[in-house]
Amino acid sequence: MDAIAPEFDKFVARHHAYVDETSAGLDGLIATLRAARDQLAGTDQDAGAKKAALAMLSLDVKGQTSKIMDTTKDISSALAKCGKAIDKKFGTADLEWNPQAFEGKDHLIRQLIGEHFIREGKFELASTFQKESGLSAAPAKNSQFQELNDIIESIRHHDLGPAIEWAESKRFELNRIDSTLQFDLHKQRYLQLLADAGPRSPGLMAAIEYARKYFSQFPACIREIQPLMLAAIYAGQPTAPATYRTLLARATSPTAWSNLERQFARDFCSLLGLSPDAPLYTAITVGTTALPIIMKMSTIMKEKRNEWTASNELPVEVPLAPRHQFHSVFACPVSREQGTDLNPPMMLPCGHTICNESLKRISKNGSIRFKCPYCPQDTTMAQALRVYL
Amino acid sequence: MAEKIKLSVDGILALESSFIKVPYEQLKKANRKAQKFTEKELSNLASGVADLAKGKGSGAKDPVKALDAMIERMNKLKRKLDELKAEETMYAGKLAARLSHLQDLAHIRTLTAPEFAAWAHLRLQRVLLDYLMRQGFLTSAKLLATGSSSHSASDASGSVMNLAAASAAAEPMAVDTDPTPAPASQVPAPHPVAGLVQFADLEFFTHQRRIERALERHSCTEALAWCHDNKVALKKLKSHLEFNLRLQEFIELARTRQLVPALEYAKTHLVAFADLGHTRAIQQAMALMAFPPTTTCEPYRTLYDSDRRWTALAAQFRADNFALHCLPPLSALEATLQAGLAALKTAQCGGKHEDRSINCPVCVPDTFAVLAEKLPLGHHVNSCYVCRISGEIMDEDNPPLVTPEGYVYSRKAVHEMAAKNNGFFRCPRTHSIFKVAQMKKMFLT
Repeated sequence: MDAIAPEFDKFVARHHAYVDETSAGLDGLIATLRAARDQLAGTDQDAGAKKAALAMLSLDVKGQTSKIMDTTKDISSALAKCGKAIDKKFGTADLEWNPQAFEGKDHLIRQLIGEHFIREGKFELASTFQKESGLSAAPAKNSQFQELNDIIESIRHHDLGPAIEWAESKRFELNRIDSTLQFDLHKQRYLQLLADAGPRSPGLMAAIEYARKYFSQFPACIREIQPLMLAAIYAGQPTAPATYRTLLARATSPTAWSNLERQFARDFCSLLGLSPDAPLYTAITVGTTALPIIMKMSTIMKEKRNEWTASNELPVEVPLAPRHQFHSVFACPVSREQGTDLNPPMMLPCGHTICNESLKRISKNGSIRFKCPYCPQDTTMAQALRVYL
Repeated sequence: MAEKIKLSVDGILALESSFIKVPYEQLKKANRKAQKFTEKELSNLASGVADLAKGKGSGAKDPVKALDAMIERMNKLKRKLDELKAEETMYAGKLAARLSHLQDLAHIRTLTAPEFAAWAHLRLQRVLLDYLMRQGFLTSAKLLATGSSSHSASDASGSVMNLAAASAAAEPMAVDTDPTPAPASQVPAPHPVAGLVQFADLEFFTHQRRIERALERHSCTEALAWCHDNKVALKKLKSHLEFNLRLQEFIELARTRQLVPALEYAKTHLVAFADLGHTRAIQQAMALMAFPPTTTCEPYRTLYDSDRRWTALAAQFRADNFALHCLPPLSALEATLQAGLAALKTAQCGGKHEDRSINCPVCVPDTFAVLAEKLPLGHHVNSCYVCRISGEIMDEDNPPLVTPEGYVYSRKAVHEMAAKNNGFFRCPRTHSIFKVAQMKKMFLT
């Protein structure tokens, strides 16, 4: 990317010049031609003068056209340089590693795209898509997604009003799932007011008034309210102690806002019994980092002529963000194999866990006492407990 | 598990070729067209004027009239160049927006950064857009790209210039439809949906669609013009498309028994391909003149098989057009989805009801679960324990506790439940009730 940007910038700059220069050049050329034409059309000229004028014109046109051509060639070569930088970075990308996986499943992909548009609150798009793609049934419209997406959109624009209003209306349900959303929204709004107020007192008073009105509804959060109220002292002061500086900075911190957005989506969906992220978004986000890893592996495997798509497990680990780990996975620390129903994890009395096959191997099929591979405690196969993750 | 997972930027970028190359190739094409046209017109002008000066050529008798014609041609060149330059500017704008979108990734260091979530969201939008366009759902694609259907959604075959105008108009539009404009003092929203127009190759796919439609109507003219425009690149690709198109036009003449025009056609268009390894195909084609379309004799019957051949031509054109612009045969949406589902898939996904997770895409029945059927499971070198109650990942601060029956839950979830139930814990899976003291700590390995 670093090589492309300067070449492209050069191209863009030259292109601006090219647009203007060729335009002006052609205007000049046309004006020259017009002047010559008018001169020739005039009756007061004799043949010799006309001939001289044409000779002059020929010379003039030659000079002007070659100038325009140079500019034109210049821009093409700048573009070609840009192309070279692009070719160097971006080769032909092959994305196919498992060609049979989706065979004959086009209709499913269309269906989940339709559902995704609904999920994102894009109802008009969903119905256009349904008609255009020939999906048999329109995905069910769900006005709740509209509400969710509208509120999320306002949070993205740092407008907490709709979110606070929604949380207030769902106060009872949110309490039942132990959600702190309502308090967290008020907290962010308060910090926003502090940030807007700066050191000026009228704004500051508004923030404190806000705190008096809303924070008092959350007596359980007293420990959090204390530093928040103290932060008012330091509003707009660059020399504030670090704790309060960080707290005040949350009003504009992208991380704080995106966490709040996630928290809102999570609690909203949780009341509906749904995942906070659209499943297509989750799958594609994970795929974006997984695909390069899998493609690289696939290329290496192809070179070595190893077939692996037939085997039931990817040959390489794809690191997952904690929030994309939805199921427990047991990898035996002895054999490095994943636990299955046939080879389940077994916990030894010391609290260390290994898979059943490793256990059989170490205990010689239960015939001997053995020492745990991770601590000095010895035990028998019969004492191991099958665990369900 | 709390350590930050680094993002492999280069790996992700390597798979984005077509995203950059489609607008680049179009920019190059417009630029080359402009250059060629300028060169031709200007050299014509220079030699025309030189001829006038020498009193030579057809214009010598009436130089004023000749000059008038030249001025007219220059005006035409200027208009044409203005069009092409506007086209170039549009493609350069797309390229700039895309390069900057990819550049954004370089500043994101970890998988868990909120910026990555925003970036991934935008990427999802554009791979969806790409899928819609590849499948020919251009109305939906336009709607997704502009976020509004109030313009151009109904015209399915907008010309390049129309689209240029539409995409130029769409940007202020997208801002207008913004529900709550951010106050100036605040950070702008991390999802610049307006930029989606710059990520749409509607001109490219509309053009492709038009040629495909022509082939469906059994017309080779448009596809041949395309071959002519991409002559050099197709030669490099060793494409047989042009020969097959010519062959098809010949077959159509033979089918209607216009034998003399067919012979003429073969002389002008087919013979040139003899050197390129098509001798045998040409011989077979010539023999068609002896066989009527009703023949049952092979291979002539197959050559006359109209549906099959036209479908194959459309497929070949599409494949060549994709190859020319580095568009992979499989869409980015499908490829990414396959990789993502495989990485997420565990033995528990879609199994017993209690094993499913509402957050896990692979567990969504009927759609994702069916798509994942033929995909391998993710590979894991290390164990990862996800609490069945809270969905949280267990670690040193929140270690796994095991019931006497062997069921594992996070300490936090166990203690929370016990606090509400007089110190008792009820296993959600077996419904047995235990005291917290009966539960055993399991080591993380």
